[in-house]
Amino acid sequence: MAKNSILINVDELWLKGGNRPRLMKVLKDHVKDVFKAYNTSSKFENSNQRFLVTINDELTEEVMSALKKVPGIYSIIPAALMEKDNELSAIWPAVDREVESWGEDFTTFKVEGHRTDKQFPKNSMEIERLVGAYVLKKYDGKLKVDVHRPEHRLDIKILRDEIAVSSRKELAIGGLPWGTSGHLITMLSGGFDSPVASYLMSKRGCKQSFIFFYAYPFVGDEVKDKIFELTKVLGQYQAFSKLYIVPFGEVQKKVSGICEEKYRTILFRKMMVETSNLLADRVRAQAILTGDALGQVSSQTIGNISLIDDASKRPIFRPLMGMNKRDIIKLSEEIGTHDISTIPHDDACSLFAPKNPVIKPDKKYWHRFEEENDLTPILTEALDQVEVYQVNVRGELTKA
Amino acid sequence: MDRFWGCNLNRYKDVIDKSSHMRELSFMLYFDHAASSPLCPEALKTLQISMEKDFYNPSAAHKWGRDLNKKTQEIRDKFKLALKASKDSRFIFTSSASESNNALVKGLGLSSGDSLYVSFGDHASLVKPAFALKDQVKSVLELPLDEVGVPSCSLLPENINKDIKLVLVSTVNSQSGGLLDIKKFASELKEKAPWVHLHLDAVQSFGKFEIDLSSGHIDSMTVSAHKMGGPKGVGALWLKKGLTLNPLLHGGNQEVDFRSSTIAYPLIASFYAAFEVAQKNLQRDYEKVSSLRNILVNSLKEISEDLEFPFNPEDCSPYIISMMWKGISSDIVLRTLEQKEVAIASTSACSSKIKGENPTMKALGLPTSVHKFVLRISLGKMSTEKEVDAFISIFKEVYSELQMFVKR
Repeated sequence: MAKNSILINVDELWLKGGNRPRLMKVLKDHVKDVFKAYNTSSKFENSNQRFLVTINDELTEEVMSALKKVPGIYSIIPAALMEKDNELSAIWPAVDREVESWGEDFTTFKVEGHRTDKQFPKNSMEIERLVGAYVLKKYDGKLKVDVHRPEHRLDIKILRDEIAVSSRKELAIGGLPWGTSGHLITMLSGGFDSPVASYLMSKRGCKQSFIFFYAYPFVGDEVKDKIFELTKVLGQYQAFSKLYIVPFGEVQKKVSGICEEKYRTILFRKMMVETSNLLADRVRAQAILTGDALGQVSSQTIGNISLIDDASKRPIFRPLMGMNKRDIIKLSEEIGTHDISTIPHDDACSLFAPKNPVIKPDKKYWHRFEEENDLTPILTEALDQVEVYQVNVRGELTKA
Repeated sequence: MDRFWGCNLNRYKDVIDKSSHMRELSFMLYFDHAASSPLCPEALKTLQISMEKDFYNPSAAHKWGRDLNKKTQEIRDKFKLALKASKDSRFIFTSSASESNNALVKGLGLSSGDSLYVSFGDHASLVKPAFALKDQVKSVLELPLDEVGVPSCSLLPENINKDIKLVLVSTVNSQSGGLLDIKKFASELKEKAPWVHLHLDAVQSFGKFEIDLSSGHIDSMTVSAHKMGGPKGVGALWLKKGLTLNPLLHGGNQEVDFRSSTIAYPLIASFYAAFEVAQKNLQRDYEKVSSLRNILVNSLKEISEDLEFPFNPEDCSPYIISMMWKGISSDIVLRTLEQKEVAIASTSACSSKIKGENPTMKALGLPTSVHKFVLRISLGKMSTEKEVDAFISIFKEVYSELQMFVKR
């Protein structure tokens, strides 16, 4: 009797020494959530650096794609668990199924045998030889063995109670399990950059709370819809996340009225970072995440970045700092945010944009402005009117 | 809700007429009547009662059904009488003006040798059905328009081609507000081309201007209930005596072969109730709304020269004011007003990043560069001077608040 199973190999946890059991537990809970969200019942068996999950139904592509987005997983191997007998005769149906999944065309393969159970009477070489002979005989003319660069690897693992047969291995996003390296406030906009930054830090095991500054009435609902769509994608790289939509039009209007025009954009950045810090106080996050890339626009010059850093009491993570636009766009295609980011929308920044934004800010003016204008009350007021949404691991967004 | 996005609504309380329908609509100021009007009290009352009591099918054979059928006939006759249409003409109830226009354009059975005229600046429910016939007819021609976006016979060729079989016009253009002298247009057109079918879309003028169908120059007309205080979901197509159509909807032949569908008696009764009041007060409402329009236009002009009126209001329906504020996207103005509980319309769906042109605005003669600046402020017979005053004072605020964003 065959059972459907999935071998899940973990990524960097071997680095973690004493922390490993805790990280394994977090990762396991995340994976369990994925199965639960897709109504697949699962049974877990821990082994050293992997999970063996037995599931009742076939593994669907939907679940596979969701698992590939779980940070901390290195690879996913769907395997059939077959009855263990010394002659391997019980595994042939599973072997057939794998070989047939390779398609009709001529191809090359290699058998890889492994024994977890060292008591098994056949060693790896013998297993490989036996299975290879079976396949070559049955699929005569369609397949050739290539031990150096095979198209397919047929993996036979002798486990304690069963034999696992597999030939498909999917790489997941890797990195560290969700939430094991802290909680970030992710400043999200409708562009290409911030979603990619979010994805990169998801891989590094960061739990994220998304914040969006909604410049209504200068932009309309279509921008908000875009943010919802982006959050639905980014939420799939998280076990659970929240989106905070902060009404910001009135704040921007007020500040535009009191500052020098050329400082508008950089001041907005500062206010956004300050508001993100206020939110971080409330949700106990430890750092701020932005999609800044050095020199991309005027607010991302070294001078302006250092002003913004001064305004933040928490570290600001900028994973795209050294990336070119082209690379960022390519990544956005891979993670599924590209087509959302390209939807045209009204941009409040261009509306407020000064004719000549400041490139080398005058620190004297800046500090005087800070001293004379305490913006915390209006930022707090804006944050008090925040709209909160939550996203589950399937990327389903609901009002919180 | 007293505060909304930092805007104190209480200060508008005293300027809004408490006896008006605005009491029910909280404290909003509604200036989008050309899109849809609130139900007038008479229509609402009729609808409430009829929805509850008149649930019978007017086509049923029993006496209750027969009774509703008779009442529907009486309403048809009253509409015809009020429009000075002949008794043998048809007044076909439909679900909407869009349906009426589609039924007419598609139902006339134009063939490959025929051509038709339509104003490209007209409502989509006229322009799109006309274009849907493109492969079926010889040609779909653009009706030349004057400065306020209405057709004029003097702009048509002296000798109208014999293959022109249909001319589609509106009494009031829903975007510019341009007002067509339909009596003059119809008689001049019929003098030039008596064989032409002249269809009138009277949606923005029904219940607001006198309509006289007695001359026989108009062959068909579309009307709707919800822009003059009636309910949404009911309109009508009037057809001159002797004309027939291929029906859009086949079924139980409820509207004598022209349209099948269960007769929506409560909607029809409410439609007529709204029309009856509107018709009775036609002149009074026209004068009131004209004076409100004058106050609005003059006050807006006083705010700034930047507020332009691309279509001379004097030549337009007083119910519709088309205004242009160059340099700031109409969407932003709309949302800023919306924040202050004021509803108007922006004619462009194109935002600053979507550089699309608005085909209606183009046909009305406006250059593409200004399409995104056009606003439409429209009045209803329930509009009051207090509302207009409140609108002006809010607009003044908005004008100064948005100054810093105006791109020159």
